[in-house]
Amino acid sequence: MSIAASRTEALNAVLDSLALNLGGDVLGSAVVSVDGIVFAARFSSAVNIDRLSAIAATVLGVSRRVAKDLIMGNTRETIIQCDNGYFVIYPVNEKCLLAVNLRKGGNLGMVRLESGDAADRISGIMS
Amino acid sequence: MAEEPLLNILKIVITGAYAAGKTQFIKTISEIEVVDTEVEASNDEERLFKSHTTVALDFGIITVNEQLALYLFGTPGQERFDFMWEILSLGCIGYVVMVDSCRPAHFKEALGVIRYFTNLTDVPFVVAANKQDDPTALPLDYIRRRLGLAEEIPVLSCVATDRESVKEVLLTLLDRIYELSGTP
Ligand SMILES: Nc1nc2c(ncn2[C@@H]2O[C@H](COP(=O)(O)OP(=O)(O)OP(=O)(O)O)[C@@H](O)[C@H]2O)c(=O)[nH]1
Ligand SMILES: [Mg+2]
Repeated sequence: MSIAASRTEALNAVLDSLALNLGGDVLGSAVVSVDGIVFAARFSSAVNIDRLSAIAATVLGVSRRVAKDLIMGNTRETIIQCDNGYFVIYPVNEKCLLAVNLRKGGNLGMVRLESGDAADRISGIMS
Repeated sequence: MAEEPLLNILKIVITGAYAAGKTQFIKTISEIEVVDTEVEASNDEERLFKSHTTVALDFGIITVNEQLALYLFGTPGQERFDFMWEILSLGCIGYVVMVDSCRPAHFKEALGVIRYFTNLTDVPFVVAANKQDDPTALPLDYIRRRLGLAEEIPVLSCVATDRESVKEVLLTLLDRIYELSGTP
């Protein structure tokens, strides 16, 4: 198996355990480079993952810009709350981010906790 | 009491394909520190050209005179960010399409940007054939022909690192905007 393929497999395993640990709250998740290229994703086929990845990178870019201009340190989390759920973005490191789509009523506290763990594992895989 | 002259603010978009020099163009001319959103490029093919890329927008301001200021919005270049092209084009009254004069392989991408923008908006635009300081830069008439541009669309020589050159491009765009709107 190529390095890239085994890396994708390892990332998919992280995304799967994230979904498992959050018991049905997760509708989809992805690991994306900070410039918007998808590394691994677990989303329904109805979602255009290439497009969503670019959007996630844009949102994180803007969030980091806000943190910088307000001199508020690093961006830790960006939450978009919609009528029917959430889209949450966690920076993993300088190279990539973790994007999580949650159902309405999903437990944001739990997601924050589990995503932190997932980000650590992703960081290990990507370095 | 003397009346304060009204300050007109015009929104101009600086667009074009990947690594054409959009961010550089705004950085050269802006009188405020440019609000950029550059991150490390991860794609090997894209990294060949440079290490950083715009993911959301650049923003800069240039005051033309007491009555007029231009708000410059730079876009990302890769097609995967086309949703930002759409967002940034809202309310703009003209735009510059930057083309890297040294990379004919990317003219198709530049053409894609032009097509996308002309579908989004009818406002005037000019094409800036950038990096004309580079010895490998292709001539303007060749670039015009390869892009298949209509006669009335200006193709301008540009060096985005040179303030005078950037100014010239913006003034030509302004002329074109006034010309097409019928106001002086
Ligand atoms: N020789 C030369 N190099 C230039 C000129 N303008 C920009 N460059 C170089 O071209 C590269 C791309 O410039 P950027 O301003 O980052 O390009 P961009 O269009 O903003 O790129 P993206 O946001 O990634 O699409 C950089 O390495 C610049 O230094 C120019 O007029 N002459
Ligand atoms: Mg740029």
